[in-house]
Amino acid sequence: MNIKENLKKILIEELNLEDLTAEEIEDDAPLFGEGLGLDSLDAVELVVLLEKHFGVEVKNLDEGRAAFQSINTLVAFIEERLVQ
Amino acid sequence: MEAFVQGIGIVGGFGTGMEAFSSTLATGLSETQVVTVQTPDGAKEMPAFLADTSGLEAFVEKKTLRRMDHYSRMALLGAYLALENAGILNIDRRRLGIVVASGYGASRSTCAFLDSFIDGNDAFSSPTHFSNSVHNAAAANISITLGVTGPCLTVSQFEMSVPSALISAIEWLKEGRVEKVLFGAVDEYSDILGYCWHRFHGHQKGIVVDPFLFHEQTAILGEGAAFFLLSLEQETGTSYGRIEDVNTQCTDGFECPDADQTVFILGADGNKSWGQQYERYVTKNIRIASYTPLYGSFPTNMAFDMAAAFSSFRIGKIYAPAAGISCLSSLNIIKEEQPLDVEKICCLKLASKGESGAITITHG
Amino acid sequence: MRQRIPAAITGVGCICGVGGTLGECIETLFEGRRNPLPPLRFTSTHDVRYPVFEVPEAAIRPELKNTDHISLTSKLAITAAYEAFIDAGLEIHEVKGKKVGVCIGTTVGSVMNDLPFYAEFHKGGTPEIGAINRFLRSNPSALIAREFGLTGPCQTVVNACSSSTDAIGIGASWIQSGLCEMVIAGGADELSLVTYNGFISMMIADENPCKPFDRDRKGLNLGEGSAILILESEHSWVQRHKTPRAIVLGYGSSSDAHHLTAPHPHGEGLKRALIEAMSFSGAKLDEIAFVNAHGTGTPDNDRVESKVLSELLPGVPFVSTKGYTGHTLGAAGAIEAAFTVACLERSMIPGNAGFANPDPDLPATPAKIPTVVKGSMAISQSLAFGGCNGVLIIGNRGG
Repeated sequence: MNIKENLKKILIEELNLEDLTAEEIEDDAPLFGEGLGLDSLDAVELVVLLEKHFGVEVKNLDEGRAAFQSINTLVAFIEERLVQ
Repeated sequence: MEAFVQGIGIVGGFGTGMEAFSSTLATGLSETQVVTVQTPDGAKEMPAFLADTSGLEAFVEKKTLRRMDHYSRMALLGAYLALENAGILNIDRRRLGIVVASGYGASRSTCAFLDSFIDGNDAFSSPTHFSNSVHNAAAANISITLGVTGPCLTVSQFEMSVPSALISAIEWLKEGRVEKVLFGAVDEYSDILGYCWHRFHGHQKGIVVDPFLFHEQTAILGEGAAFFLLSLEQETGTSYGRIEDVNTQCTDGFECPDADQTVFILGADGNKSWGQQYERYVTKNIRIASYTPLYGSFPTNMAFDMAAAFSSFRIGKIYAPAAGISCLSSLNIIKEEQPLDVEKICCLKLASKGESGAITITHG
Repeated sequence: MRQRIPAAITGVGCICGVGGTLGECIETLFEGRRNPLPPLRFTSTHDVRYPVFEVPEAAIRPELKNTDHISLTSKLAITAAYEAFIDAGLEIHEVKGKKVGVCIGTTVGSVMNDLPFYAEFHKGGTPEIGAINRFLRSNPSALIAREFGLTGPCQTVVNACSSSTDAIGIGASWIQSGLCEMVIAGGADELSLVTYNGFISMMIADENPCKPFDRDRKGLNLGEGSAILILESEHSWVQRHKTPRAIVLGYGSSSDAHHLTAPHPHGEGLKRALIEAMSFSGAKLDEIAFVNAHGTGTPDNDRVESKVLSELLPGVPFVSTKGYTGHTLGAAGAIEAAFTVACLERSMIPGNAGFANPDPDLPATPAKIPTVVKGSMAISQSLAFGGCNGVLIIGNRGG
């Protein structure tokens, strides 16, 4: 499974997005606010999930803000950190 | 001290809603599910009364419930059912308070939070499970989902949670702090509770709770939520009756009232450690009933006893005890269904360290 | 509102990171001293060692030290209760068997989260239930009632961070309505790896000593402790020839109905609670000497509180004492009420520890140094997870 597929699976399972399938999560749609409708509590949960499943650390939410825009930005963030 | 009850919402092992609850009281039959418990002798199966919260989908969109755990879902369902039962789902949320009593709080989320880091990596601690694990999460979720901006209170006093919290709910009404209170109780089953239960009591012998066999351990674990819409004024139509008096203390010294115009619903639920307290205090002078075999043992099951009392007033009958229990005790046990021939029903809860709680209910 | 009996405060006990008694705490506050350190009692695998405010074992009542039959939360509560009794001039025999109520706020104190027990269970083991028995013995209100032989109602309030503000407000209402002549009200909470991990996971803990209301604030530090107030009716303290230290004049409580963990962005719940407390007490703005703010040091809380204070209480000095004590969760409201009583008595508030530079986004700034205050009343307020807002208005004994 590639990073994108894995990430979507993790979001669905761990954030309890029960009625969504991976296909229904658009890669460029906003994750927070509209789009998927995630909020501040999901944001900090996402920080933990990134550490747990990808070994990627987010030191503060300012750092995370740009990365958390969409699936694509998240995947790019993970890939960049994995290379380091 | 008094408050009128306009609506009741209840969910537990018997099913969902006052109609199902009253029907269960009338038939004396209620089914358990099976849970698996970790024991020193391997995994064992045990009966438990478990609540199903799928009824919530009639009130809220599924996505609203996304992060909500079982504890909060039971409470939220109880709250919605109480408002629906009172016929006022569109109640003024600004002058409404929420009071929740819980013995053990959000037990499953507490464990889920511990699970997230106990294997040795604190950085994996889940903020979602942490937020859900605080006792007041149920009251908070009711407040947020219903848009209630009055005061919220959550009380945790083990078996005395219900009478203790009820005192404060009624104080709020008397003070004029709120116009109505959604007063409720919620406790959930969890694996850790099942484990502790088994360590304390050993393997369940039968599957019938026998509350009047005070020296025997026959309790079955249960869970559920029961909510009551309280107001200071009686409103026409739906009132179930009135809470006339509430008393509780955590020290020894309970005196059994000698009351011939009162039937007592005992919170005896098959637990030997407080069964023996009932034996100490309850005398032949009082007429007693118990319905805990229909919903099981959990710290706040006194709220279910209250619902049974209000149901009795509604239909004008005292329900027969649950099917299969023995009434061999020399006490004055009500053995079959009969007309409600008294002014008051007193719900009485005693616990192992001598704690006592008494809630007296009467006609509206 | 109908006439109600005022609830006087006749005795106060306090134990927390700045002292083992109220007197010690207040002295430390006015000297501007604080001692945040990494936790000693537990270890964690986080890279960073977040500062906390632990209570040294030496400060706990001697007969409770080195025992494990009750929780640390309960030991803290009992220690503070005994100090409050002595302060109130009460002998135990005077209250034994009496209908004295107990109303205590806590969070950790009501949760079964013994880690060694759970770790073994989690691995599929079958741990011994000593920890469970300890938990069942340790409900703070029930324990205090049993310690002193009290027969009034017991209530352990578990409203997260506003628990003991609410406990004091509720205890006061039991006096006001005539339900009890005396109530032991307050709060207690112990530090725990569980809450430590919880707040760090929410990314609202500061890696450095916290800076309430400061431009560079990053979050809270946790603390532990207890404070107990003896609340009495006039009939009771007159009969005992005891002069109250202060009076609970009003209590307001309101919900944000907004989010499980974030406060309402405009502080709507806090505003309603403040207005309600002022209304119940009949207090006027110019009578308010100061506010003991919730001031945890998190970006959100302090922004919201500063906004509300500047709107509803413009020009009224305020201070967060959490820079000295850390956030003591269920004990915070009571500890801060205890500090409020002491500060009213000396007509001074300490400087806001941790505050150095104002945040341009915050319309109101706290007292930076010890400040003389004028007025016969003060406010102590708390904002909790889940959106509970609790506000107490405490008046000096002449007020």
